[in-house]
Amino acid sequence: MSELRVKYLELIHAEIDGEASDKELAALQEYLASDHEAQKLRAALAKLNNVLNQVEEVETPADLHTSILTALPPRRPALEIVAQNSSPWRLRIPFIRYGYTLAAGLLLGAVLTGVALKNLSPPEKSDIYGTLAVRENAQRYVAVEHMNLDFPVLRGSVELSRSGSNSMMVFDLYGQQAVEVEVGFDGSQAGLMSFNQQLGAIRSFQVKEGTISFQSEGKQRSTVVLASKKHAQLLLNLSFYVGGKLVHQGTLGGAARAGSGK
Amino acid sequence: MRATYCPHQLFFWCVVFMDDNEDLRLVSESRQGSRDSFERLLLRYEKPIFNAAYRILRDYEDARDVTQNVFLKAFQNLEHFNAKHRFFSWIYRIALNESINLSKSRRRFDAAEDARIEVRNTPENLLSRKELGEVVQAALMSLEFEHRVVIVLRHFNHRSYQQMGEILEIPEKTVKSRLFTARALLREILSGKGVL
Repeated sequence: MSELRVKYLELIHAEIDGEASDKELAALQEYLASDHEAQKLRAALAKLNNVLNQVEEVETPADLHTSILTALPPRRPALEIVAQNSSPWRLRIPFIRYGYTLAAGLLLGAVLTGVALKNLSPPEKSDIYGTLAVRENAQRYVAVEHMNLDFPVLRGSVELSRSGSNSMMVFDLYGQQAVEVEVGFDGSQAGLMSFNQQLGAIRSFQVKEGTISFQSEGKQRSTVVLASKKHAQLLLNLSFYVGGKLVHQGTLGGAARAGSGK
Repeated sequence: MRATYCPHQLFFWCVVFMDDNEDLRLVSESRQGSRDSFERLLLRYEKPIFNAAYRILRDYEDARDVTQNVFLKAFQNLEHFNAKHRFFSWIYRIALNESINLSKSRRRFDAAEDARIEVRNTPENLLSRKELGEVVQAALMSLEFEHRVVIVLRHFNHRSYQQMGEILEIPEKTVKSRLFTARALLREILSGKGVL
């Protein structure tokens, strides 16, 4: 068989498989006009392709999906992995770890004894002042920017507040499907201080340099606090995905940067 | 997975698989403990994997076992998945290995069964789609494993030459040559059964 013929026979397969370019298809058409054997092969392959395409797809067993999910072993969530990786080396040495436990036990005993003794006497003013002091500290965050989300698959808001060099974002989200949230920022200027999610356990949470991502489900409030270097005003890029599709992308912190905070 | 029209494909609509980046994102989230993300990968691939396993093994229960093992192994070995590669290539490769192992342990192809579904090519004996499926399946089973696999990946899983090369870890040129030989053999068998 000549090299040319082999080339065109390959092209016939490529045509059937949708892998031939327009140029190749045009060349093939020209060649077929002069080679009846090649025409026959093309017709036979097309017929085979037709037969194979008529074969129905096999229905997957109805319970396959559930049985696979049930068989999956539990997987350690991200927060535990982070905690495990970030535990100091000292805690991995048993006698030091037990030493800490003993010290903690003694301290707890002392505190409980103190509380018991205090309860015998009337409450003092200092207890009340202490509680107020904590609240006052929390109120130092000032709301600077607000983002509304009003989409068929995602509703809610995000509020950015600042306290000194800390930025707090409160996500109040509501979606019928799980919402993936991604917060991007300048990782050289800031890092995560805390993450909290109310109503239900944290489903997924991931931190990389300059990116935080988490999942919110149903009606849920998530709070992210970032600590930045002194005087650094962070620009935060927020992305919201539902079912793997980007629903909204926006920034927060731009108004505060320009000095137009609420 | 979405169906789209492929202008260069002669007769049929072909299937284009969703963005590989989406797979990588889901894998990354699954590694972090998100079962929802793994479930999405499962939703995306359980059907094609089950179908491939069924076409390779011709046994519904074996195909179910293979599919279950594939996803269990994938879940347990997510840390070993190299993000430089495509997720579908990795998971299909696991599926093919599982199918090879199972078919080696259960060599059950029965020539008598093959003979039973022989058909005559007469107009009054037109095959129903179900019967046609059985005949084609029997023909597939009489191919060598390496030929059967390329037919399954190309015609039942709609994989391109390049993707098949990635899954089978062979050059595209080898994919083509195997596929062309497999088609020639399949044509011969099906013509012998009166289907072509």
